[in-house]
Amino acid sequence: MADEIEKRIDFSALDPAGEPARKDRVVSAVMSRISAVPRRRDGGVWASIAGYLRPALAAAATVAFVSGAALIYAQRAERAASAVVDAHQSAWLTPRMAEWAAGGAPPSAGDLVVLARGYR
Amino acid sequence: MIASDAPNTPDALLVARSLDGDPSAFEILVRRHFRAAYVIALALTGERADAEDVCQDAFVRCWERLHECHSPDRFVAWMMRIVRNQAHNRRDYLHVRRSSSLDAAGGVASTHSPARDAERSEIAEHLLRALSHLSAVRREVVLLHDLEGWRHREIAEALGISDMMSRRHLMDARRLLRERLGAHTLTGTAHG
Repeated sequence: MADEIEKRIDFSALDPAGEPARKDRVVSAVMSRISAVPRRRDGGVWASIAGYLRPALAAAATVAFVSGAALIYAQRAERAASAVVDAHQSAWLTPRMAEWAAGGAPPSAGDLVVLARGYR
Repeated sequence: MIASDAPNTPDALLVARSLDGDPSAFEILVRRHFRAAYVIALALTGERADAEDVCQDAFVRCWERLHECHSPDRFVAWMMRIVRNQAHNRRDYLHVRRSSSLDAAGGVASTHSPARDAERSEIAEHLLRALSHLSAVRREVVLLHDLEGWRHREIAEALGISDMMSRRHLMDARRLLRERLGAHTLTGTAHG
């Protein structure tokens, strides 16, 4: 049985090559029809729109990606700068307050004005 | 021109020439791949006349949609998808389109004797009846392999299945067909 399964089945009775006239007739019919129906070089209006839409979508996605990346970078840079300012401020304020506390004397009006306006 | 360069011209070049509006290049493609298209259509419709009509519709559609064939060197696989779609559509709308079949249009002249034609026709009917008991994919595989002579790799690509499944479908199809055909079983040369 295994040997039988290995053998091809003879389908030559179904082979269109056995009837060349039939094949020629089908080919002629195809060629006649395609001469009457022009090949579509594009898919019409919708295909044209889709053709424009695809690059437009790609460009929009690129712009969105670049904008997002720039926004994240800017936020990080701002946070880093803010951290530096805080560090400077606390570095200046802490010794001044320590001096006031250690001295036992209240800060002068000038010291408070300087503190209120900023550390510089 | 068709007779002289047809065997050596790659499909991709013929597709390019067809896209440039050369119908003779497309005719070479049709003649070259008619048999494979017919085999697939026959496997899916089960009727020779319907298979021929499917081929006709499919090739016209190929011409109309040729710009969508993005890999011209794989024209056959692309064409086969269209043939299969057309065959499925054909099965759905068979009852309203049967009148346009080629057989109904008057038949085709044969190069054989009437007795030989009758014998061939009888064998063909036996084969078609046996094939009708197989699943569509098994019919496609066994006809493409045993009639059209395709390799499993080519069948797998055209049908979207694996090589292994193609082999399995072939074995199953042959076994079932031999059971059905019985005394009518006709075997060719041993080949896997």
